[in-house]
Amino acid sequence: MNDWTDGEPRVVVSGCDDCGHRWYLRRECCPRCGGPVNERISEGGGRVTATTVGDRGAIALVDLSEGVRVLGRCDPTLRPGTAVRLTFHAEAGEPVAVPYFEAEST
Amino acid sequence: MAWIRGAGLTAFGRLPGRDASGWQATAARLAMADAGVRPQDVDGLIVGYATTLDHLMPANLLGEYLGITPRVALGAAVGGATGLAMVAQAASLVDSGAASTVLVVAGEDRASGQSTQVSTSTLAQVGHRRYEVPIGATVPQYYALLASAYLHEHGLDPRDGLAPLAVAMRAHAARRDGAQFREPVTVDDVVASRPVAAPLHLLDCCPISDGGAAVLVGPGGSARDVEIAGTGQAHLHQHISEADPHEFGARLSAGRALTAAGVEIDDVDVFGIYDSFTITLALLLEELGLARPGRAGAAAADGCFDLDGPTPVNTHGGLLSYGHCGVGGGMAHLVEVVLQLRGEAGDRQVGGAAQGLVHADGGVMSAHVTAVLRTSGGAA
Ligand SMILES: [Zn+2]
Repeated sequence: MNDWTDGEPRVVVSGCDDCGHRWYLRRECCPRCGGPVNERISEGGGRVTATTVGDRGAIALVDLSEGVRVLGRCDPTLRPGTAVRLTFHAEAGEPVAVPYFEAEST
Repeated sequence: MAWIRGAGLTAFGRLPGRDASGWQATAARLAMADAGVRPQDVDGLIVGYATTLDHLMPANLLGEYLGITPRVALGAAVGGATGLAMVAQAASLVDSGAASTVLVVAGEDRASGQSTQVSTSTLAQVGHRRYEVPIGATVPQYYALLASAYLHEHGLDPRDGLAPLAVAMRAHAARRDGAQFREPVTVDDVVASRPVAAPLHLLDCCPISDGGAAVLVGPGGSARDVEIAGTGQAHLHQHISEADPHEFGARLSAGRALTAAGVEIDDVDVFGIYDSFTITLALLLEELGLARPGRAGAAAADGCFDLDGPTPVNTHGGLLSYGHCGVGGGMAHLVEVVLQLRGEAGDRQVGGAAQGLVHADGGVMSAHVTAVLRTSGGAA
């Protein structure tokens, strides 16, 4: 299934048919047991585990509700523990829109 | 049984004039001279990658440069853990009888051989090519994410949680000839230094340096030889997305090395712990059990890691202050512990040092290698 790295603005969560393990980084088999892979599109809800700000903007590690951890850009005001929602943004000149996390509106 | 029979370490810093091969050769010649070995005696040659060389065959390249024609030649790449991983392989070659005089070398003109921008973008390739590199994170940012999670989990700020570790490393470097930065710094200096990747400031980050380090491994037992009593490794993930922040691999790696050596960590007298960033050192000290969770900074402020503290760490100043020339940076800790165990550390000698432990990580806390060392006269 295509995801944001292919130009489709979505995160695909992989899962194992045999052992139920879930992961984010694309593979052809389960890294835990070698089993066959199923895929689902993330609903985009999650919680920030870590943030940083560098020369090129803010970055966050987010635990998605599907149980995988995703690196993305983020609103610079986010802090660890914040509930977030996944969107996609491209900077000028970038080939694809990348994951961008915003605070979940309450 | 394998021993470190010779050790060589150059000064680190921004020291233009040598290329990577030049730094490797300089360090190799220091180690060979220290061991009383000639190039034609070397029958095993293991050389770490250099980003400024970007060569497929680092050991062959250096062998030709120095006139070494080994039976076994190997280039190696496990990031910052490469130096210790090469020493572990050297010990295996000696133990198996495949080689008896193994030279392990690293060196690079990482500071003057390329721009900081090129260096940063080369190192950032430890991120996942498809899912992480396009986000634009740099290595300082990956470690800053680890720092962010760590400070949040323990309710700390950078001043208490991280800065004292930079201060402690600088205090060590003040006593060490060859260190890149020797001027003492305070916690205030650390938190007032330029933000590099929040929550990390400039003084939380190691510099980029030129330099080299090498050791000669073989059968031994004479007075200056240092026994490689045990090595261990753990490689649990590559990318930060898949790391377990409470089990990066350091505990497993060190446990394997200590078991192989038959040593308890409480009986180790002197430590060399990888410190690419203050957060690296905090996480490793805690996972190794040398500080309680969330307390590495407090322990540093209390003097635990000082020369006269209960757990002397990085008496050369570590990557943070001695400097970081790539693979050689991780080997500087090893050379320093060798000097300590020989009783050759001068005014920074840890009294009665008989057993040492060196630990390095590569990537984003990804590759872990530990070596337990002891003196010829050390406890068996
Ligand atoms: Zn599975």
